[in-house]
Amino acid sequence: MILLVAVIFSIAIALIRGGSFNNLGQVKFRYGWLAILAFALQAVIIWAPLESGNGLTHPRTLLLLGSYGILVAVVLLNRKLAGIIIIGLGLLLNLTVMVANDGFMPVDSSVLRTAGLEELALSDETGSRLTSTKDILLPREQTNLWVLSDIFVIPANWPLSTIFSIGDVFLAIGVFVFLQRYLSKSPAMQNSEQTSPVDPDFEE
Amino acid sequence: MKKTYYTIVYIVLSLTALVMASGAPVAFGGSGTGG
Repeated sequence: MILLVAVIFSIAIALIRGGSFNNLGQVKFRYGWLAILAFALQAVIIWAPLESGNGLTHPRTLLLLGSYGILVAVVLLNRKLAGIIIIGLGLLLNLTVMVANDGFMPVDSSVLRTAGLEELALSDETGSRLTSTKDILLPREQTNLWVLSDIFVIPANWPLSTIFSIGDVFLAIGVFVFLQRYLSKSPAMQNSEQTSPVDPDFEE
Repeated sequence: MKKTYYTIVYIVLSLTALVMASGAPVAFGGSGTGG
């Protein structure tokens, strides 16, 4: 949900800066329905509880990783849009650490406690899934590519307490860049100010 | 005008789905999808 907050925050900042949703209507965003499909697929996978990660070859793990494949395709199809490459980098960082740890995002129990979210773990055992998330409980010393896992914490006594990864930070920056670029002045207004050619990212 | 409205909704939903599905933060408050 912290990423949803990042989207709402980015929209609010763009509107405060004088942006308009009408400008967004002129952007050529290709195959966006595939991203919605991937999100829906993940929602089914995430809300169906599992006792453990079950390894990379488990059908549910393969479906989760497959949904990331769909997202990579959406990023590649829209790579010329501002911020999308940054989003793609965040996606790849999250995907890399998940593949390196049996298909789910590892998190250490001490990090979970700091955020006050320990009740999400189905059990205290290593590899236990966290309810309604993509995470599994894994000690730091057993985590491959630990630095890419969910290591950043917003503590329990702060608003929006959560845990997130460096990949999530890239995603938040990417969506911020995208929305500042395409909610801001329309290409016609920019052209009248700069007398530059029409932006290829926008429909004429 | 109607087409523009649907295009805006489509882009906002697509972008939000892309970012939330790509992410992996633990949900806050013990609820949510982890996106």
